[in-house]
Amino acid sequence: MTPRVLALLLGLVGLAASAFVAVVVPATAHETSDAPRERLPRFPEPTDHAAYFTRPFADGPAVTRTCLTCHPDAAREVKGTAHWTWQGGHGVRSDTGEAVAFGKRNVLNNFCIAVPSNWPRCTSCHAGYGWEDASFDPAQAADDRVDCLVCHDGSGQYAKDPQGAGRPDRGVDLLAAARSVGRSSRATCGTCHFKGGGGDAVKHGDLDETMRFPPDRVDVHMGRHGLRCADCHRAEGHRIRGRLMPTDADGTRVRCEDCHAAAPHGDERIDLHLRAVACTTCHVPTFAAETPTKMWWDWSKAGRDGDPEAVAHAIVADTVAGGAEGRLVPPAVLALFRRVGTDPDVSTHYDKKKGLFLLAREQVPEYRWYDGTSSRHLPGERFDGDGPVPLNPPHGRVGDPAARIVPFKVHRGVQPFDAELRHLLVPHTFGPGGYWSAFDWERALVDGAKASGIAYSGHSTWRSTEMVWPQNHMVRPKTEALRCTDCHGDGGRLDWAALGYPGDPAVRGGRVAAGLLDVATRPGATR
Amino acid sequence: MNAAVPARVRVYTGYERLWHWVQAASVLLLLVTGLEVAGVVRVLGFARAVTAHEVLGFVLIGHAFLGLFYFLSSGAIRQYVAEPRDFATLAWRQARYYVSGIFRGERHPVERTPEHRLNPLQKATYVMILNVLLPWQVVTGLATWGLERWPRLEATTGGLALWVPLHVAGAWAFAAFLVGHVYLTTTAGPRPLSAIRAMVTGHEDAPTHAGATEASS
Amino acid sequence: MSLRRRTVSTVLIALVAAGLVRGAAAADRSTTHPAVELLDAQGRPVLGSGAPVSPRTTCGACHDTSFVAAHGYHVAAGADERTAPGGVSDGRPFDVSPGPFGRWDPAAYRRLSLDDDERFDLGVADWVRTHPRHVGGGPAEQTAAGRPLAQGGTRTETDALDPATGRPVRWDWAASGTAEPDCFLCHLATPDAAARAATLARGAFRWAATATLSRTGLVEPDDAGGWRFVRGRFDPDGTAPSARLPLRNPTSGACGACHFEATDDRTALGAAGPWSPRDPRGAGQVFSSQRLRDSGFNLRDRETLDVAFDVHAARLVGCADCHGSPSDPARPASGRAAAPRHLVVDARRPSVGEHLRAPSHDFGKGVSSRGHAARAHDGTMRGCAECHDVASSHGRWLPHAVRHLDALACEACHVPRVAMPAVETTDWTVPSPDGRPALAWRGVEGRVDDPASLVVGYEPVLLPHAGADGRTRLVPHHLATTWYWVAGPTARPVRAFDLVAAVSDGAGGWHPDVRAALDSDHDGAVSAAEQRLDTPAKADALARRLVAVGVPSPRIEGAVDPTAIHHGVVDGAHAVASCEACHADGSRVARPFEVSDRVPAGAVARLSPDAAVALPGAMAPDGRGRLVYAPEPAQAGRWVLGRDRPVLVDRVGALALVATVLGVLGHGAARWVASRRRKEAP
Repeated sequence: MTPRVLALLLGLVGLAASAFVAVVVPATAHETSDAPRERLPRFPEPTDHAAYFTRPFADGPAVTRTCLTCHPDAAREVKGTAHWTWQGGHGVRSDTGEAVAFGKRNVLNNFCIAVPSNWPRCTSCHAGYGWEDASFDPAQAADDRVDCLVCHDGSGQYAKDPQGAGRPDRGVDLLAAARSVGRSSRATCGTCHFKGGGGDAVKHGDLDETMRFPPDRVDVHMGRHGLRCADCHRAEGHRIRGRLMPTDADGTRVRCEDCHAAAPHGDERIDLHLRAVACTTCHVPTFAAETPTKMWWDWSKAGRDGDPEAVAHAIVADTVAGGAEGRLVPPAVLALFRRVGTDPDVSTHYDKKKGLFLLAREQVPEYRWYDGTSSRHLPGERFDGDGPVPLNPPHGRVGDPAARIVPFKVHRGVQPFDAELRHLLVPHTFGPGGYWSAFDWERALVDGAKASGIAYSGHSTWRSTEMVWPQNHMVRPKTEALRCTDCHGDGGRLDWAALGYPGDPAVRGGRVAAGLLDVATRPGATR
Repeated sequence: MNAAVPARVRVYTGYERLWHWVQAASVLLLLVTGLEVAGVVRVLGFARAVTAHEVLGFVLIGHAFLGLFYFLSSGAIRQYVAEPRDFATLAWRQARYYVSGIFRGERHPVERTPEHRLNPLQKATYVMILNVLLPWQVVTGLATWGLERWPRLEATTGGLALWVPLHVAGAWAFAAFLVGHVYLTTTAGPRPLSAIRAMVTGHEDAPTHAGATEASS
Repeated sequence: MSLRRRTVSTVLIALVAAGLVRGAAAADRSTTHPAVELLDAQGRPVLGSGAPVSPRTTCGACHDTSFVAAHGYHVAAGADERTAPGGVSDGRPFDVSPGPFGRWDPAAYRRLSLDDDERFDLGVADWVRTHPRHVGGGPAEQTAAGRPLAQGGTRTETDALDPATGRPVRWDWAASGTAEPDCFLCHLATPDAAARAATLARGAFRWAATATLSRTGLVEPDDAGGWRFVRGRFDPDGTAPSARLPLRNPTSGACGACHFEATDDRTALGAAGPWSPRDPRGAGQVFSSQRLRDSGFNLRDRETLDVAFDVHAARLVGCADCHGSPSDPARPASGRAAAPRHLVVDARRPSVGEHLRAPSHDFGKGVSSRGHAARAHDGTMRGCAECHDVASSHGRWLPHAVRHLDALACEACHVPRVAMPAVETTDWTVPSPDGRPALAWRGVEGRVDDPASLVVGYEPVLLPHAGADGRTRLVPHHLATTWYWVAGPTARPVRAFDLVAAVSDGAGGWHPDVRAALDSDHDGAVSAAEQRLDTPAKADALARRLVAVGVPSPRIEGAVDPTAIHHGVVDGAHAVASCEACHADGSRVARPFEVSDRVPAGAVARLSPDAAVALPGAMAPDGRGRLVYAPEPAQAGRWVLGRDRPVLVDRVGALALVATVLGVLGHGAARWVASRRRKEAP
């Protein structure tokens, strides 16, 4: 009797209390939740490998064999990835309609141009050992050719011989490296990705040695929050997510939304921008925050003797004055030429082997529509267009609702082009008989054609090219992000006309309001 | 003492007890949240205190109406109706008990039964509380809350500057009532806590001496 | 004739185009306005005549300049509402208009002389010379009777003060000419307001508009105090190329040439030096898209100030977007007052062409807290609620939103602080010997002109002010005090000339009597701290000096002038949103506000009669000699829960509660004692 009544009363009081809490508490719990840290992957505690290895290793493959005794699938997994095959893209040649498999192994860029004929130098960044020449077939190579240490070293002293076809440098303590293995780190990824193109900061614009231990202002993720590459470039079976300029949407794109809320700003106006603007457009206001990156590589100026500084100075002076040296210099680069000498962020470098470089830091990106896919200038593909040859033009138009405005570093250059067959040529530069020792373009091109299989008619010319590099890293703290007036209003950094807008969308409306979206994609069009 | 097992008498029905305690909790919480709205204490934060005060106010009002319906339909309302015939005499007797009789160990002048559980002074007090003070708080509280919804109320009455002082005056009165009420429960039963226990369990130990009938006649 | 017509149509087409790409074009230095031929007052090309540029004829070739002048309160400056002295409602007895022309502004001090003033101070000519913020035209061209100033008028209109003798002398209007309404000042992308101000100060009024063009390179100063035209920079056909003379919609920067600190420039504010606003009466408000942390000012906690000076500017809303021309067809007139009840918008708007021919320059305005010029246009600006859906943005989280929005102006929460320093006290009781008042600034720790001083800004005071809808709400304000001498039975302010004569020795130094009275530390100099009349002895010394220079029965008065804070708005994320900011002790709505850093001996400050605010509460000197206003919102019928408590009710209630508790305790104790006693005695 009494206990029942007491239970009833207690129950009622509890009910009233919970109703009270339900009414009163929600009044304060309505903030938007963007808790990216909670969405980071959780890694198991690393195993200390120090005790497993006691005797010195003879060479790299010996280490790999030891690894495989416990990780028998590892080599097979790695050999299925682009880090090993240097292939993975699929394109269709516009001239012949032929399907072409491509990858780092055979495609052309406007830095050192191409791998074929220059293997030992280029393959020093291959995740394996001994890609000496064309005879190396990644598909057939033995499992012990896989280089485990380059990614898993924790000793910090493992390094590859820069001209050794991927072999470890002399003087590397393989035992110490093996005892130290663990998760990949900013340092291991950085050994290749910070120094692509042959030196620190050359290629990407948003990846360089400062990213080993970046200050907050350079990269908020890796600096303030201490993230490693693999926190975003998540891997499964050694397949690592994220490709810089894929030709197809393979679903492995790394997205800010992997960790961040879809509308994280707490400001409707800013969140609305996400329909047309990539996160990086505002959050990577400039690239090459500390170390200058290459903006211009003119191979046609190679081979000149004399004081490199004087040679560079003469070329710059003539180019700025409108002389013949600047014949192939596009307007965007000419603007950089004009800043040489007055702007401490812009500098030149001349190398007889390689030609003239322009380097710059703290640069405002160029902005283009990008849907996450791109094309390639395929090996031997005929290009009949005018102007610079686009090596990896991003896909995307103002009318494509999937496209976003994305910041790019555009690396422009001048390189050999077949005047008759109208395609880019591969010069043999590194090694005996290469241009870097013989300084003979004709011979270099003939040798390069032989090695690459790209035909050479014997008539070469110089052609300007451009290659885009989306800026995804060096995300700055939010206080450094762009603000309205950086793009909108008088003197904003976006070229609205070039992007396809009739005028500043702050005034004329965005691509939906201005009717710029493709008809088929407009809301209601298909219903 | 007498070894007779005390008979247990049912004084309050389940709903009556529920009603009492819900109202008691509402009033107490209203006083606390009201203090916070007035800026005297800081417990929940101003916004939550206001919301809580408003919700509790409506709980109190709604429950008062439910109670009214119950008391009317069950006839228990008669408990509260003063019998005019003997009221003065009985009230005097009750007052005299509080002033002197209680100190001499006299019997409580009114025997509590399920049908007659209120003494005349209680009746008068409850009539005042339920018919004057509660409506007073409800009206002033509703006006304070409703200025948001009825802008003309503000224009014609002057808004919070009028209603808040009235509401606060009522709150003080409620607080004073609460103190007196709790104290007087200790005088109502055979033992100091019997009345409170009765309000929890619904049962009260029946009087054990024979003099009971005498006193009540 | 046909050429004229073609020009008109070209201009119209161009301006229609300009209207279409407004916003983009508004902020751009480029222009779609065609090249124009600069004409003189007679309508002759200036390249031929060499006479001053006349905006009236030059712009009048296409636009109805007389309509613009007649429908522009910037031109009239209150002169169109002129009355007999004392006829201005809520004005001072000696005010003759509710606007800058004729209304005495204590801080600016110079007062337009009345014809019955014994001591002549400011005539029209001197008013024009010292008021470069006036755009020209109106009182700068015509007498009260509507005749050209050169044709004579009252003494105020014909005479100027002789700075040597302090006596009125005839102003040679024929020589000075008059200042026409200067279209270039606001519509030129590159106006030279400083050159124009210097030309006005020199008295070369007819050259004022020409001087505005000096940054175009089309004109150069000549040796005779005028300007000459650089023929080579004109087009061969004699027109001024639009690249040199870019004419366009006024930008925020154009407004900022006169009004507090408004800018659309990307050059960091404060990069050039410490805070020196173009309008020192702007109470520290800044209208700019720049972030505080990016400015060059030595702001406290600067690194944390991610907020822009004004969120509207940051989001590309310019002055004209809210204060636009009422005839602009692109901006439907605000408010439904003019339309019948069944209409949301009156669609019968001027066409673009009609607007461009005769654009009204009675720009949308709110309801000023000080001065009442152009009252007919009160409430014509675009208010917050015309762009913002306040209910949807506040209803979700703000309890009792209707009441809050009824009681508070948006700015009350959305301008939590004014970022920059403001003039708190202007002390004209002891001007320096060169005639400058002592100023005290708030919002800065140290001297305002020292770049190392820490800028802290200030929290405005919330005052009841009736807005455009007639409702009185709490609006953030700045309160500034001016102390000054008045004299004689009419209690008119002592003119600046006499003040200087009283304090100076005639050679730029302090008068010995004044120095002796003020120099408390006997170092032979009057420091800034000593330049104040904080004791009766000092005030008496000054009064004796004033009497000596002929000022009868001088005494000190103080005027407190409000400035409403409507700019420097922050978005919701940075606005005051904590309930406890107001609903607690120390509430924002009742925080004491220092209105003067000093109170001269024996003086009392009052709210200026033309102030459109109330000061519920008390204004009194504190223990440190400062004048402090302590708001008491309950006096204005505002009850702030959490702060205001009914004192009397609380006392009586507490008494009743205490009595009950004591009674219960006493009764209980007596019961306990009685029961113990009964148990002891069997």
